[in-house]
Order: sequence, then structure tokens, then C-alpha cells
Amino acid sequence: MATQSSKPAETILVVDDEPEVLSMAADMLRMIGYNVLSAGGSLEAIRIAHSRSGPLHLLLTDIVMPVMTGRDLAEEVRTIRPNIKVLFMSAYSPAAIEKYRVRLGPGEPFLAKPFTIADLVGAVQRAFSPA
Amino acid sequence: MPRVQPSLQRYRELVEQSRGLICIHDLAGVLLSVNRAAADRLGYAPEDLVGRSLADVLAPAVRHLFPQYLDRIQRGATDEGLMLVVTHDGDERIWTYSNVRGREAGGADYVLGHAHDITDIKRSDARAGEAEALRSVGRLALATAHEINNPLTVIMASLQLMVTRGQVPEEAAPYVQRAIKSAEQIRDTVRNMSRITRLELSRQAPQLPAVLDLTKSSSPQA
Repeated sequence: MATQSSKPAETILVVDDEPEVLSMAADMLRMIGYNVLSAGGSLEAIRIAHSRSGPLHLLLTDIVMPVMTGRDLAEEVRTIRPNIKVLFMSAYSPAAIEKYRVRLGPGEPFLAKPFTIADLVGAVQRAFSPA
Repeated sequence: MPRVQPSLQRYRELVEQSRGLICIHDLAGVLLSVNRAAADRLGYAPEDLVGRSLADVLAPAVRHLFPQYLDRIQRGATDEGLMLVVTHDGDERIWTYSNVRGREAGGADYVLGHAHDITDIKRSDARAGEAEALRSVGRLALATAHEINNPLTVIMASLQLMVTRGQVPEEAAPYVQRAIKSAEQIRDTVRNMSRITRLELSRQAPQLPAVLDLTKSSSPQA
């Protein structure tokens, strides 16, 4: 976990259009030891990706959101931050997500809501580990 | 009139060889003639049906409506609708009919009946209706799972954060643990429900998974 390392904690950009979920996910990640930036939607997330001067290590984003999907957001953010890791989360099952024209690749990190702290830690670690 | 006989023969062949279901009955409903297609569909030879009442091949459930049909065809020139017939083997079939009253040169009235067997179409429609109903259940399950999972994330996260940060008084800890366990049960049930979404996404799966029996769906393998 980030708190157990001597190097500076990784910074995670969390995006969810559900304010309560966004707040809880951010609190859990901070408690684990990560630096956290929150965005209530895709456009705000893109603005942060542009304006943030420090590094962004991970994008943790909801998949089904207004304006654009989490997949589209990830592609936009990667044009700004090419090295950023991505972890998708959703209250829909992976099969149901396909209804929104988003298909998860084999082994692509996915965090199913609702999640426990252990689920979150595991998913974030998988997202950080080399593919 | 030497040309009349070949013409009548052609008409007879037309009726006999037609794949439409054709019969003639008198105003009392007694069959005077039945073509091969109609007799075959009912599982009889044409000669087995001639002389019997049309009511004999109606399904018992609708046979009481036969006098009303005879009354309509006697009062009006035509009658049409659906009839439920029963074959020699006991299968019930749905026919759509369009019957016309006529009069022979000698003066006797008769009814020319023409029907089509639409049983397969009706059954296909019924299956399509059932499949659509099941897809609706799938869409409902999908939407419900999403609407439950988001607030459940907040509940589970809040409880866990309270415990992890040591914010739960000792006397309240058992209640918080029960709340966490119950929240996890809801999570598991909703995940089982999400299996129904696979039905919704498949237009060819007419059967519901056992998850609709929520008692069974609580098994951890689901």
C-alpha cells in the first residue's frame, strides 16, 4: 500500500457522477494512503488532467456516466497523460456494461460496486502492476 | 353444353387440390363436402367427415358457440373469425375461417367454408410475447441492480471506514458487524440478479435462470 512505501504516495484521480460514491471512494483511498483528486464528471476530470501540475498515476473512473463513458474519458485522459493507469468501476455487471457499448478487455482491471476496502486495495494494486 | 363438364372438373380439382381448408355444410352445420387438405389436417379421410356435424371437429371448449355461428350465417351472407378445432389425435388447432352462404340451382342453401391453420403463427406469437416479457424482467433486474449497488457502496464503505478508523464504540461493534454482513448479503443477491441481464442481452434465451427463486439464488456459487 502507498502508506508502507518510503516514496511519495501515488496520486489517483477518482471520477464518478454519484457524489456520495465519489466521496466514499476518495475517503477510502485517502485512508489507505493515496493522494486523491475527485471529479464529479468527465469534463471536470479532463480539466484536472490538463491543469494538474504534478503526476497522475491512476484514473479510477465509473463507466456509465453522462456526457461520455469511462472508456471514452480514459482515452481522452491518456492523450494528456500517456502513462496513466486506468481502473474502471461500475454498479453494472461487466455483461450489462456492454449494453452501453463498453467492453472490458481480457484481464482489464475492473472494480464492481459495491466494494469493500479490501476489494479496492486489490483492484488498485492490480491496476498498478505491470500488464 | 359440352364445355360445362370440363369446367366443373377443373373447379373440383381446384378445390380438392387446394392447400386451403375448404368445406361445404348445410345450414344445420352438417358437412356435405370436405377437401383433402382440410381432412388431412384434421386426421381424417374426407369421406369420414361427410355427413357429420362441423361441431364434431370443434374443440369441446368452444362447441357451445356453434349454434351462434349457425345463427349468424343464416341471418347474414358471411361470417368470419377464429375456430378451435380438434384433430383425430386430440390436438387442438386454431383456424381462421371466412365462410359464405350460397344457394344451389335447385334452391337449397349451403355454406362454403374456407379456412387457414394459423396455430403455428399463434404459438410463435405467444413465444415471442413470453420472450419479450422475460427481456423486460432482465431490463428491470439490470436497472434495479445499478440503483441498489451505488447506495450500497456508500453504506458498506461508511461502515468499514468507521470500523477501520476505530470510530465504533465497543457496545455498538456487534451491530455494525451485523450491518456489514447484511449489506454483503444484499450485494450477493444483487449480483445474482445481474445474471438475469444476460437473458436481457440475449434475444434467444426464453428461460429465466433459477436466480428468480431468490431462496435458491442465495447459494454462494451463483
